[in-house]
Parts: sequence; structure tokens; C-alpha cells
Amino acid sequence: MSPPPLLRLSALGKRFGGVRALEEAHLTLEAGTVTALIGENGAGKSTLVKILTGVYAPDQGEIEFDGRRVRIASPSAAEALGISVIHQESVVFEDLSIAENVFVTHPPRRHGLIDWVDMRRRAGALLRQLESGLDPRALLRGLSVAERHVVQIARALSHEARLVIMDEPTAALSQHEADDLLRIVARLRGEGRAVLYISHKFEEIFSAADRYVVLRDGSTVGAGRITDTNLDELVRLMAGRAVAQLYPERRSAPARSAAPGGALPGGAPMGEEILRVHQLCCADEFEGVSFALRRGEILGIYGLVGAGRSELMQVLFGLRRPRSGRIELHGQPLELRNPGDAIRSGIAFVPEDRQNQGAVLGRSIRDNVALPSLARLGLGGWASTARETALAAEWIAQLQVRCQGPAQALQELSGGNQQKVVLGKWLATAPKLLILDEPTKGIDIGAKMAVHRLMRELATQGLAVIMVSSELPEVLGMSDRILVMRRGRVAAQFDAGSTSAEQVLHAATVA
Amino acid sequence: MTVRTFKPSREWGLGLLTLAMVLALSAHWPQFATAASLRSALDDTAILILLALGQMLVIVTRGIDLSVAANVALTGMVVALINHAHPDAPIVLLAALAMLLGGGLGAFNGLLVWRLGLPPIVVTLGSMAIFRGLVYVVSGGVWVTSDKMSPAFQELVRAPFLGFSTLSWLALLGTIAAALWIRYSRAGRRLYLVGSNPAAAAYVGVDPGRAQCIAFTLSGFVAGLCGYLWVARFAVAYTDVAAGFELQVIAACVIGGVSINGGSGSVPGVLLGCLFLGVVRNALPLIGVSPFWQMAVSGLVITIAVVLNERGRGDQHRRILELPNT
Repeated sequence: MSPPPLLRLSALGKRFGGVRALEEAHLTLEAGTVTALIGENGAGKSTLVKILTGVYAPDQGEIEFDGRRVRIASPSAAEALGISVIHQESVVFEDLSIAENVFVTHPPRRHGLIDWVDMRRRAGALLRQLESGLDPRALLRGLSVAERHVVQIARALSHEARLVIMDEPTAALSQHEADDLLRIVARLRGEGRAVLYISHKFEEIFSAADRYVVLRDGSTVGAGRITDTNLDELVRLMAGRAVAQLYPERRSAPARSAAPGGALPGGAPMGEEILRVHQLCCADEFEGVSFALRRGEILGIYGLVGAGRSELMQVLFGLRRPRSGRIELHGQPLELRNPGDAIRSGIAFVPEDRQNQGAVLGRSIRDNVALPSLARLGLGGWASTARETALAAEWIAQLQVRCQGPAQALQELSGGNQQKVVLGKWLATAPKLLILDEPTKGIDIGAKMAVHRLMRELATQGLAVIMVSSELPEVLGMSDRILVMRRGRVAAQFDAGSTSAEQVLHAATVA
Repeated sequence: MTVRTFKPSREWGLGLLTLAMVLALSAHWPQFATAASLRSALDDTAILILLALGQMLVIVTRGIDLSVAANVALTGMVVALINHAHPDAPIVLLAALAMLLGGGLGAFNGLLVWRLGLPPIVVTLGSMAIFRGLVYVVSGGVWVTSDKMSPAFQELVRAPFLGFSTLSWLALLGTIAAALWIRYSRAGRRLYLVGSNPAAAAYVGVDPGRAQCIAFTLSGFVAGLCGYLWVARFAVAYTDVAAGFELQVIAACVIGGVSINGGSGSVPGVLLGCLFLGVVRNALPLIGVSPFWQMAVSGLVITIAVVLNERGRGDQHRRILELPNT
């Protein structure tokens, strides 16, 4: 009778408020194998990892370790079982030495006192085992990302880890460093440990993994041996679902027609070109980005984390300086030194981080709505509360914000209504170009639909909209055109009506 | 067993600078380098050393204790009053009492920071005022002068032992104890974990609030002891004892390389920071800087030292007042 698998997750479920992060997740890991965990953003991978490392408890389902049912109640419990995780924003203490970081939870002791000599010796041995020349006395602060990963792996080894979870380990590494890391992964496998490898890089997956598991919308939709599958199949599993009729009707636009003001069947005329970006480069973030945008058009920008989408938007809004390239608004070159310039040019930006960047949650709806328009609402340098209140009331009505009135504090509203207020404040500036970064993140389905309807209405009225989104269905459903970014470059541009989820995903993930 | 210094080059620099100052001063004013004069300078600096070590523990955990000087004043006044009322009570007992009281005051700070989650700067700004106000309350505004204190009370600090006063020995013992504790005990290391990365510390099972509370309590114990030492050494207890001294204490820490961001700082560094300040303070009257200018010059020296220290640090700068949700 063969030994039970090292880890078996059965029908795991987890919800946060109204959102089901995991639905029916299954996972089986055997010792001495490398299993790739694949899925697009929001599929549930990080929730799964957090459950395995004791940060969350599942609402449903079972976890079996070595054939025994277990409850992983805390990170220490996970560690005690032999589960370790390595990710970028991790448990590292920059002011302390490598040796101390490796043994942070269990420093070697002699007569009750910490034994530094033994700690350094054992850390050195682990580092050498990983073929690293790092000095255990070195502080973590000066280390590169690749070197920090090695330290974390050393920590996992110091715990006799039986399952090592790696979350996008090569995301910030050079090719050379990535190769070194994959060699370490192979070594871990050879030592009989199980590795759960989360990555979007299919080249790595096919070269390093033995098995694969695909998550989609919180459920496992496919699993098996990597040799039994291929790239297309994996992409299909990741993306494939019918794009539900959740999105407003898109106007049918002729494919990339440059004719300005051409009238279209069933809709208002799609306007003239309003924005042209030519070979825009920003040091270390993106390069050679070129695209155009017309009035009334919604351009969806899709890509994985690190693709450079948000940085591109920041340049368009004057938050970041480009190194080279041209931006033209209405045919005139645009020089943006700061967001103020952008606002004066008619550009509005709704950032991804609503809590810290998009809104002032502690203030009232009125204060928020009036914020970018204070100059024109005021009377010679003095604020006019009456005008601000009137403006807020106008937008509350137009956007149907559910609230007690303009004086209510923004943080008391639901996420969806907060987002409406943020949109209202920008629409009050009568922009020509509206940039939205993850506009429906963290919002329930009803509010999502309302925001989408609003976006479509605005576009119909002639506003040019750029929408950055990590949700493939949203990008497909809302955009007129899709621009896919990958590792700082434009990988492809599609007309939304004539492309598919697989094509978009393919462009975003594959070389 | 080497006491590992955080940035050896930094402490060496500070040590050499201090040594250079001492040599330069004694070349010009030989009376500076006499044994008696140096012993006296050490005595002067002993209390600063003890308080700075306690403060270091707090700063390492990303906190700050502005109430140490007021703590000294209050505990000093209390034991002076007890000594006045009971001249026969053993002095060692009084010193222990002072430590307990000081520890209690420190725990007050620590509990507010831990349980209520209040920023340390706000808590200790308040307790600084409370403690000092209580000095006035317990004394009724009356000074306890040397004639009201028993001879034993005043002599213990001066009592020579192997050439050094009790005061200097306490500073030395405190330094050694602190160095050993933060290096070889898990509790001591936890302070550094918490200061370096509180979120990660919580992840590995170390409660940042609890560690800060422990640091405040220890700082309070030390301040309590220094309360007795101060009033005994200067043979007087009144409301304004050690007024403003908390700034010298914090300056000594910062000059000594303790990062305001938390997570780093060494005992040798703090010791050197105190000695540096001690030399500066003793040098000024020697050079003939008028007493009116001494405070300004001393402050200027501290400012320059702090600026150089923080410039050398480069990277992250954090606020002392922690904003929520960031």
C-alpha cells in the first residue's frame, strides 16, 4: 500500500464578506515533486497559500497532512508541520544578520543563552548547501531580491520543511538568478521535499515542474502531470469560461478605423483621436509604449503584476516623469510636470488604492467631491461651502450614491458608493480623458455593474476612457479595444469584439 | 565572545573622535587628564549612561520615552521624602523601592502603548507632565535639601570601591548587563525583531505591543534607580530635578547610532555617545565658554552629531508619530 500523499486539500472553501475567494479547491502534493499552481489574478492562489500557512482558516473542506486531518491554526502551527513559504514581501528583518534571520523563530541555545557561534555555523552550512557564498554575518539590508530568497529557503531548510511554497519567486530576478533558483528547486525535490511553485512563467513551469494544478474563480479546474499537457491547454483552463452577460452592450466599432467622426450603426459617433502616445519610456518600468485613443472609446489595459500598467498611467497623469517619448493631447504635445498640469489639461485619474490615494476617507462626501474643483468653486481664495455642497448633491443624485447626504463621512459608505463619489469628484472637473486603475476592485457585484454602466454612458457621451484591469472578464466585457502589456512592453493590441480570453491571456503571459 | 557592533566603522569613528577630543583638551589643559578629573567626568556621565541604556531599549522597539527625566524627578523625590521621614531605613531598600516605583511608572507608559495602541510619543508627552506634576503634589512644593537627608543616603553614591565611586560602578555594571541581555537572551532579541519589522515579528509569534511594554517598564526601572542616584548625588530633591534631561538622553542614543526607525542600536555605541556628550559638557567650561553660551554650544554640537548620524544612515526615514493604515 503506497504512503498517503504529503498534502491533500479537499473541497476547500473560503469567503470574505460577499466574495468567494475559494469555492471547491482541491490539491494533492506528493513528497519529492514540484507542483505548479497556476491561475490568473484573483483565482484564489494567494488565499490558498494563506490557508496553508495558517494565516486564514478555511470555511469548508479538509486538510490532510501525511494522511492525517489537520487544522493549521497559526503560522507557527504551519511551521511545526513543516510548511514554509517564500515570497517577496516576506518575513525578513533587515537590520539583523542572515544567521539570525534564518533561525529567527528557533535560535540555537546553550545553557539558556543564545549560541551565536552555533547559529553562524549552521547558517553557513545551510547557505553552502544552497551553493551560496553569502556570509551569515551579513545584514539582510544589503541583499538583492535573489539573495533574500536564498535566505528564506535557508530558513525553510532550518525547519526541516517538508513543503516549500514559492510565490512568484523569479518575479524580480535576472535570468541568471532565476536559473540558480531553479537549480535549488530541483535540489529540494531531490531531498524528498514537496515544492508548490506559483508562477505565470510557463517556460519555467514546463522546465521545472512535475505536476500542475489550475485554479479558476476559486476552484480547481484541472490537475495532472505536466508532461501530459501543453501551453494551450493550460491557458484554456485558466481563462475558459463564457463571459457572462454582465456587461453593458458595447457599440460595434469598425476595426481600428482612423476616420474621425465616423458615424456607426447603433451609436453616437466615435470621436476624433484625442490622445496619442508615441514610444513612451520610463526608466526600469516600461519602454516603447505607443497607442492612440479616441473620444468615446474605452481602452482596456491588461497585464500581469509587474507589466508596467500602473506606472504608465502615472506618467499620463504627471505623477512620474518619462525618460523619452511623446504624449499628444488633441494633437498638441503634452508636458506634465505634476498632476496639477494633468488636471488642467483635462485628465482625471482614479487610482487603484482608494483608501490611501483615491479618497480622503475621513472627510465628508462634500469635501471629497469638491477637492479637485476648489479653485473654481471658491470666491477669490475663500472656500464656498454652499457651492461645494451643491456640487456634491448634484453628483450624489446623478450617480445615485446611497448615503445620508453630502455631510456624511466617506468611510461610512460601502466600497461601491465610495468609488462612485471618487468618480463624481473627477467628473465634476469635466475631464476629456478619464483614467481608471482597477475601478471595480473590492466592490460587490451590484456596485460593479453600476460602475460599468456609468463608464459606458460616459463613453457614449464622448469621454475617452482608459481602464486598467486585472480581471480578464471585465477587460473583455467593457473595452472597445484592449492593450496588453507584458514586462514593460506592449505585447499586443486587440479589438475587443474580435478577440478571445485565450488570446489576451496568451499575450500577457507568453514570450 | 565578541560584542557585535552594528556598524563597526561608525562606532570606531565616534570613539576616535571622543579620544581625540580628550587628548586635545589634555594637551592644552593638563588638569583635564588627571585621574581625579576623569573620575569626576565619569561620575557626571554615569546617570546619563544608565538612562540612555534604558532609552535605547525603547527606541529599538520603535518607541520613544520622553518621560524618563520626570520619572527620575518623581522617584527621587519620593525616596528623599521617605529618607527624611525614616532616616534609619536601609538605603539599599530605598534604592530598590525607587526602582520598583520607576518600573511602575514605566509600565504605565507601556500599558497605554500596548493595550490602547497609542503612539509612544503622545503617551510619554502626557506622562512626562503627569509625573512632574506629581513631584509637586507629593512634596507640597517643598525642597528636600541635604540637611534633611541622612548622611548614609548621600554617601552611598560616592562610596569608593577600587578607585571608582558606586555611581560609576553602577554605570559599568548596567552597561555589561544591558550588553549581555540584548545579545544573549531571547527577550532581548525580540526587541530588535519588533523594531526591525513589527508585522513580520507578529507573524512569527512575537507581539510588538508586548515587547514595547517590556521595554518601557525596563526603562522605567532604570529611571527609578537614577532617581535615587540623582537626588543622592546632588543632595537635593525638588520639582525641576533633571528638567530637560530627556533630550540629552535621546541625543546620546542617536549620536551613539541607535536608529529612530527602530531595530538597530548597540551598547558600545550608546556608551560612546554618552562619553562624547560627557566630554563636550566638561570641555566647555574648561575652554572658557561662558556658561550662558554653554547650553547653546552643547545643543549645536548635538544637532550636528545627529544630522551627521542620520545622513550616514541614508535610506528609510520614518515619522515618530505613526499614522494609522500606512
